[in-house]
Amino acid sequence: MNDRTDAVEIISPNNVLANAMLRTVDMVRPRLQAASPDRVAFCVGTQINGAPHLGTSLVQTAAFLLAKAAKRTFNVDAVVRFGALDNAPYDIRLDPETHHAYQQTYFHALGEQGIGDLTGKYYRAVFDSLADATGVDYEIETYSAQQATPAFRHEFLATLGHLDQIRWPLAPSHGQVHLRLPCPQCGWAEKRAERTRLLRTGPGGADFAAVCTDHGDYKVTVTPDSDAYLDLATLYRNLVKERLAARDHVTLSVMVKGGDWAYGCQLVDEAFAQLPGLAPPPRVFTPMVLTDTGAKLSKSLIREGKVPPPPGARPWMLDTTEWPGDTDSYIDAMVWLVGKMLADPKHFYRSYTTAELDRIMTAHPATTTGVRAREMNLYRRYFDMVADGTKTIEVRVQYPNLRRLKAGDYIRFICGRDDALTRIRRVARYSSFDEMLDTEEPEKVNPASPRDQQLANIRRIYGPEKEALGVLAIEIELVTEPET
Amino acid sequence: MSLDPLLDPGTVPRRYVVTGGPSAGKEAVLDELHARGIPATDGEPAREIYRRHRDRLGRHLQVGDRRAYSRDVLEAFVAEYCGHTSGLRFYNRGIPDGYGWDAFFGLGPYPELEEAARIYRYDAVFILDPLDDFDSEDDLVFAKDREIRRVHELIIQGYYDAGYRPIFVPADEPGRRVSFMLAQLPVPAT
Repeated sequence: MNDRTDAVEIISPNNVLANAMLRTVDMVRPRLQAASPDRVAFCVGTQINGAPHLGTSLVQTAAFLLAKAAKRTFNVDAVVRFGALDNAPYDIRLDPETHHAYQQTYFHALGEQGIGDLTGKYYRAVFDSLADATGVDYEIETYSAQQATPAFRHEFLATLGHLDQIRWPLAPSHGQVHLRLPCPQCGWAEKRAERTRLLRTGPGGADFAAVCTDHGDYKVTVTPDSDAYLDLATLYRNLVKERLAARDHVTLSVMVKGGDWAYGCQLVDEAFAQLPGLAPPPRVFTPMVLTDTGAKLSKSLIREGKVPPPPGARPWMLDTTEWPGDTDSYIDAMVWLVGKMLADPKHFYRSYTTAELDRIMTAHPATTTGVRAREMNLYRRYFDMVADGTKTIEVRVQYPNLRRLKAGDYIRFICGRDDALTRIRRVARYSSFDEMLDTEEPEKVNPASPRDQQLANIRRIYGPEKEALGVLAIEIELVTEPET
Repeated sequence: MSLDPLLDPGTVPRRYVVTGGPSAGKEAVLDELHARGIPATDGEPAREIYRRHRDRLGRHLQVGDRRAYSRDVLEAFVAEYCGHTSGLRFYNRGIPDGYGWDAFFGLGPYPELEEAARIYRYDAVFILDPLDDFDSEDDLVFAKDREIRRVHELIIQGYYDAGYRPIFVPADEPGRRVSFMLAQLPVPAT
């Protein structure tokens, strides 16, 4: 799938961060050592308001490849958690009376189904392909779903008692935080919350007053269980999300963000320092894509004609849907590109101009060789049974990226440096592990273990919430890899 | 400098305008003035007039409705000006604001506005710098937000056209902005 013999050379000077580590993924290690979590979630958030550009793909691909590296390097379960920021503004209008800007989020404009469609259009195939290419499962959560959880709302409410302190890092120029609580009747909210007032905060909840352009004055009560929509401005949202993540001692959340966030996180850290208890979760900042002037590549500035396209900027860099090929070939290219960056911390913890990326991409193999196989990691005791052909059924829960798994697809099972290529003969779907083991032949799942022992082992790996996703029995056959 | 001489109701009227484009933080500054017991416009007359027109029409105002609205606002500003006969007072927008708002809707100055701007003069004009740069990476937002910036700039232009040299108040929290404004007030001649 990936040509590992290409000779393009990236030359990167050393820097303080890269000088401190041998592998890019070592950035995660200090917290792994300190917290010993059951698993690691590499979290990546993306606004879903249009076709993604290269910078977005770099962040997303890096999240999957870092998760893959974490699995192999630290022997820990790792997933990618994709946060779809559906509170991005879908429409803006100026209040005819005050000329304050009012905004409607994508969620309020399109509804849950519409958001699902939009996510599907731009990201589902990309994530499925990334999951296939890296063997890393992913989860999708919208901001709207996250803000509705009692845990998120509790975390938000806990900040309000310190609002006078955190408002300065969240809005250093004037201390006025944008806290949008959309009108319950129409869903529109003052973009800059000029007339939103915190009336009361205390145990159990907070009351706010705001003004709707069409429906006049309204009050909103936010409690952990109320359904009032909380649309927090960028820094505030990240503060709450990161504090929520930092409380989870089972899953270590690692925030994967575009390089420009390295600046923004200084303010989030300042806000953390004003609040009791928690340290921010680890963050990995991915390379920024720059123009020849050193500025971040901006699709909108180019489209508006304010700046010319920089040297080397291919159409697909500005709009990834312009890639001359299918999704899998694009993802293969991204995995190849980001893989080269990740290969050395000096290559990853830096930025790239479009010209340099274009130069590197000239070395990308135009065609792939061999079969495109989905990677799956296996414990050694199971891997050996697959590799010697005695285990012919692999059991998984139905993560979103496994929805499309079908007979004829390839799976490459990985264990350490060993791998075994298989072809899928059949995929059967069940509602529980019990049902699966009742129907399939348990000795094909594990010839060395009785049924009840298998059930116990599987349930140690997958908790009830995972089993609820659905169970897959994947019948496989070993494939002899063609010579390339 | 003590504010007491300025607040003395026995002194001649001193009129200070607080203005700026949408989202400049004007309401918060007016609230702060009230909280400090400094005389200032209660509410925003222009908004009350807007709501009256909206209620009468049964819809938001359109460009064709703006001239009548503008005249009513001018009348209210003149009434506030004339009703203020002694001591210091901060005004929530001033008569020359009409230039900027009318220009935004493509309307030129009309004789009554020109005359009022010439006759009813303020002692100083404070323009609140915007609290946001109104630049967004989102194209859709960007187009609308530019209109906010344009209103702000047209208001500034209106005051220059009326012969004022506005004092610009930096973006900051309301308390510090009010302190800044008070520090700019001229010491009254005794």
